[in-house]
Amino acid sequence: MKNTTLPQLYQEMRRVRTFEERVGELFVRGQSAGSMLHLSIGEESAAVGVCARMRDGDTFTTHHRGHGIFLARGADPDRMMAEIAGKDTGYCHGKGGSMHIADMGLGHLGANAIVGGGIPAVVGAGLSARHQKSGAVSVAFFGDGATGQGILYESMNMAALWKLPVMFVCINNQYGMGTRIDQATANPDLHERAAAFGLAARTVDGLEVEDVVEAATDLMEQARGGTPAFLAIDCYRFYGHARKDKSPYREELEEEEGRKKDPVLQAREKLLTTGLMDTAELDALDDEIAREMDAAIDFAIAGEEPQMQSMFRDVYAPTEPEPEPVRTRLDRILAQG
Amino acid sequence: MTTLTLPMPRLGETMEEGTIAEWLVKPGQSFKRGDPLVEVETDKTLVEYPALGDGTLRETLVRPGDVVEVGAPIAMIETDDLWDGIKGEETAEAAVENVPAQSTVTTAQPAPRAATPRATPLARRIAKTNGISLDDISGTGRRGRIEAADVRLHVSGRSRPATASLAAYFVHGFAGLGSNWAALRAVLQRKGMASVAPDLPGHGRNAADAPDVETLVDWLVGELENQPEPVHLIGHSLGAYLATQAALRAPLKTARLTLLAPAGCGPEINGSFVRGMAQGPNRGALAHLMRMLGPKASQLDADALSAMAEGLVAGRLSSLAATTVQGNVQGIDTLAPLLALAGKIPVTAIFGLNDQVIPRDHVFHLPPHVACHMVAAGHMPHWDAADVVADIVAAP
Amino acid sequence: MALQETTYRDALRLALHEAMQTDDTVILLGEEVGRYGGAYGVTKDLIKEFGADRVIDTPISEAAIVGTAVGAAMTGLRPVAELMYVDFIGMTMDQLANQAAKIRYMFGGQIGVPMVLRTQGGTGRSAGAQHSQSLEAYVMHTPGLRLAMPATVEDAYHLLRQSLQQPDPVVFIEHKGLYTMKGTVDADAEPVAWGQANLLRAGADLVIVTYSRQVHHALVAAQTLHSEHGINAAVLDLRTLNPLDFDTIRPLVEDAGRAMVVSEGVMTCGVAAELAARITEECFDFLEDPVVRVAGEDIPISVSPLLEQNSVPTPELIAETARKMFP
Repeated sequence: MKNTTLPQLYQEMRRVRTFEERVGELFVRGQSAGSMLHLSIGEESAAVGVCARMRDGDTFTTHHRGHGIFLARGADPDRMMAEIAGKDTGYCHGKGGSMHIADMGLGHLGANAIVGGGIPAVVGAGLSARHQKSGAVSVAFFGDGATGQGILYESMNMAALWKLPVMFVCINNQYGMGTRIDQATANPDLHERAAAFGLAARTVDGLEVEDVVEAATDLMEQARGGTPAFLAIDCYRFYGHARKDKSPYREELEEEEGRKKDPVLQAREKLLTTGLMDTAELDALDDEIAREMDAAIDFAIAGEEPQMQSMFRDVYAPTEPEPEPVRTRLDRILAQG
Repeated sequence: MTTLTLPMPRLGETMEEGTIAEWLVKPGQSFKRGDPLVEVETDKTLVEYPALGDGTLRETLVRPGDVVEVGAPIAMIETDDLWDGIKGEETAEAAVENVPAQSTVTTAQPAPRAATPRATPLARRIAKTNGISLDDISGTGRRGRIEAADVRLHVSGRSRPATASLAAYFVHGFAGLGSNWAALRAVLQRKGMASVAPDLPGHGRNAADAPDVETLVDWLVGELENQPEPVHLIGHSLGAYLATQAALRAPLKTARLTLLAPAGCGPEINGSFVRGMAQGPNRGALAHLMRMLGPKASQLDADALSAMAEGLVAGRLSSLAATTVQGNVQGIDTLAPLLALAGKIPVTAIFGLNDQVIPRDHVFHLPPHVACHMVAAGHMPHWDAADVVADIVAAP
Repeated sequence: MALQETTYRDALRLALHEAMQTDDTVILLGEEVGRYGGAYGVTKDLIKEFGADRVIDTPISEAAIVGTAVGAAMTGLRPVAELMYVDFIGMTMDQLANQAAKIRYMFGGQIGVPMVLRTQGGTGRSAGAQHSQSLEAYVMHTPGLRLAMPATVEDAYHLLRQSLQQPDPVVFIEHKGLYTMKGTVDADAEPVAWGQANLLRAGADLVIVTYSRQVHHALVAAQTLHSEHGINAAVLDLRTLNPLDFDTIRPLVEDAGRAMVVSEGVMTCGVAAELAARITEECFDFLEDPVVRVAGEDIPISVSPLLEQNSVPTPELIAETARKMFP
């Protein structure tokens, strides 16, 4: 578990934000693999606040907007950015990209491009943890959009039934793509659903990262003890669904109001007002983080493309024969003589 | 300082063009890395295009409201930095060159298809290996297509005596079917020997009636006359009699004659078998009759017996049975026409050692020019000893 | 343990029992696998020996059953999830096709998903349109999933044991019409290797390529073809559809020149279609006839036994079709 002083929490949140800003830049440079990039700007407190309470050996799954969570859990921004760029030097050798990044070393069982798709894996990880008596918790991170998926309720029910060390974290950024939460459900008090299944459940405002840490501390302790937990974190998705769409589904006024709910600036203000850090220190920290993330971009761009032959690797275990490429097969069939 | 031509960026997966919303930097103005240069609108997004390095905007090439294709030049800038994917001034020209020329597209007319003979892939391969044109081969397969056996026959015909390349013409026995020959034909086919095996009148799918043996012989002679080449005529039981008679009447179309368990070579016969078959037996009765026929026949399963019983319509064969067998005595003579064939056509006979329908001892009545073989079989040597029979039949 | 007389169902249980005895990480989970003993009795009494922590009754939540198995497999267990009927595979398809099948690849080979999804399919019990399908093509159409379909009592045991050794996810589809079939299992014998087809009957005239219950229909048809028509048909039991043992198919077809693929799944875009296409491509120069598919009708399965039986290949249809290949 990490120290959770406000300067540290601010630093982690700033790293997430700057990373996400650089991801946008990577795309404009034409260096990103694809345009399926979902930025978590505005949601930094959720990622940083919950990850602050995770320990070595804990596992987690994330969703399509999961850069921040992985970074907050200790990911190397260089390899993350390289993966987003589809490079061999990335976490998944360029095969996963932004939405399928994973690292078993950090317990990251995978980001997921299917809304809700990564949720039940934590139930299985919970079974493993109990079987192995490892004391580990498995955490599913997902957005409010996933509360529309049946798999969430199947998974919460099983976790509660079997009393597994599992935690469900719903980052409620108010939007499932272009549909606001109150247009998608008659009861936006999401924690009530989890409570109905017998989970320890809370909703917390994500504006103050320390509030998130407090809630996560409480719930994760319960989860570790066999009472699975659910935490909804209210925040606002600053930009569009994928990168910066022009958001025709919401008013400019609403966006302006929403962006005032900025956990990074909030923490920065608090550091200044409490005198924990001064402007010069904060600027220096921000600059250092900017350099770290610039370096990540450079690393990504400098990275090698995957080898063509790697295309057929890892469909099955390395001990197994690789699938025969279409061209090879056709050359064989249509060979002369 | 290098002058670069900025192309319209691709700002969305499916973006092909975008509308310039606003220039955020004016010509002559300098900018730093990350400064937004221009705002671009697509059907999905309104995006700022940030500078990828420090520099100065020299000239804008498009104005707000202009709809611009991805890759088309939008501005000239000066910079010391490298901008990914953007090279020096030649880029703009390259982009222009990349626009597909509005040349006329010619559609290739398909060449008229040559009329190639229909042949199976295996037949084509064998023909190709042997350097043979399929045009020279006539097909005996389904709908007249050329099969491997046709080609093999052709190949062997060029290098072996004519007899080896003979096609076989099978004549089944009383209450039999053309399909009775399938086992033997399959073996012969692998030896490169083509064959046909029709249902005789009064039998199976042949709609014609067969009141007596003369009708059958007439039909068979007619069929032989229609064969393009002389055949190796192979008859079983009553079919052996028919084949012998037909060979005598169609000598030019009969290169060779083989008789299996031939009828008409002596007086005795198992009359209850013949009458049982003629009566249109049910499945149970048929199972009993099949045990008389031989080991393979006695192993037929229920489904096979049902199918066979269905084909044996009661009464269809009773007249034919009456003219060929009375009691346990045969009413036909194969020996006389066989004698008449001496010196004209090579004749072979094959008897089953355990024949329960026609006594094997009839072999002793055959004239000396007939080559005789005794095989371990019942009345159906081509079922019980298909491989042995095939070797005899295919021998040059 | 030497040779023993048993049934397809009990051979499966034997395999599960042995695996659970020798490997503490093997767990079973699914609807009714515990106290009920499995809808078809395959897991009967295992809960008594191994306890409810390893033989886990689940709610009726097919997607989460598979998803849980995925997560468990990624974190050190070797789960055997049971899907009561393969017809429910649609409920699980995201977890199966998007997660289990792709995790090794998407994550650049970091980790595999060594799980087995046991299920059963096919006709024969008048179970109706939603409990009688043969949906193996859904699985075979997804790279990353192994697919085993035992036809014999011996393979019910050996293929399941082998499936539990695989480093990748295996979908193991039993046939509901075979559970009571008797046979022998020799647990000590060297089984046919994983991924290899088994030639159950030799024959030089025609190769019948098939799997699961249709193996038995093909054997009956081959006997008829031999005794009634003298046609010698080989019968090849594929055993696994992924891996697909084309190396065994090829020489058989090249020798015979004629091939038929028999499958209970519907004809269009089915396993038989894939096999026929592949045989045609690979063995084209050796073919004397089109490779024919004898497969399920392109219709749902009826509850009426008469309609049900005739919706899928019968021994008669196989024999009749083969017969027509020899004019």
